[in-house]
Amino acid sequence: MDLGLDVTEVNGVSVLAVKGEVDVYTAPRLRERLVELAGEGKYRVVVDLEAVEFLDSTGLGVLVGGLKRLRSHDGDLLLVCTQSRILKVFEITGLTKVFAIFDSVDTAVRAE
Amino acid sequence: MRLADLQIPARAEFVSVARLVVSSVVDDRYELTNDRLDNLKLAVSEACALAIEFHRSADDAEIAIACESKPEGFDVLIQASGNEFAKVRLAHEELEVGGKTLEGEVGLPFIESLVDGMALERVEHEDVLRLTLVCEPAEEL
Repeated sequence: MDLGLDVTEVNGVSVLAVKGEVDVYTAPRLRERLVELAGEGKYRVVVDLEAVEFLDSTGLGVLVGGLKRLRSHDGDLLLVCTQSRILKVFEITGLTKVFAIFDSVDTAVRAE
Repeated sequence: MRLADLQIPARAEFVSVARLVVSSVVDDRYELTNDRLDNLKLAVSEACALAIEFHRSADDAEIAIACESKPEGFDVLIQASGNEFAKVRLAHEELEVGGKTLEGEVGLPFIESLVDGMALERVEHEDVLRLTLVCEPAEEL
């Protein structure tokens, strides 16, 4: 199963575009990428979930871990997601109260 | 009636196979909205992840998955060897935010919220997680 993880820089913010399925198998790769970004001193990160086809609670755990790591450096992790099937997972677990979720990368970058 | 039987190694790389097989089998036979089909995929994936977590120390462990039709819909059965399936939690230590632990919101309660019914049954010294979806059969073409 392929998981796409592409990082671009937009106005000093790292935008991590995730593509494919994030589950118990692929989530560790997402975690590694988020840890790498923090290790490179990139503490302002937008995770773009628009091309994610599946996200389970393992993926949620990784995103929460990333959020905590970045906030501990006075940074933040914002999400871009408009797909109801993905948003639903955040809603069921109450994580819509934890993450700032935007409908486009541009809006999220402006909010950083 | 048994619609499908599947045995996968209890390893993370096989979870996507389980959810794809289950969703394909039931999508062919039942009237399910995309939303409910997505919920089913997620429930199967979470249940398999729980079983894998339980089997973490056993290299040759397997997870048995079956689909059974019933008059008012179908059941998906996920069987994990051992007797602690219900007590297993995913390794979600990272789901603590601001001092609040979210662990109780994943695992079995999370799965239960995705389906119409969930039961944990004991069959021949093994735990079986039964997920029930109430739906109509698909119309014959």
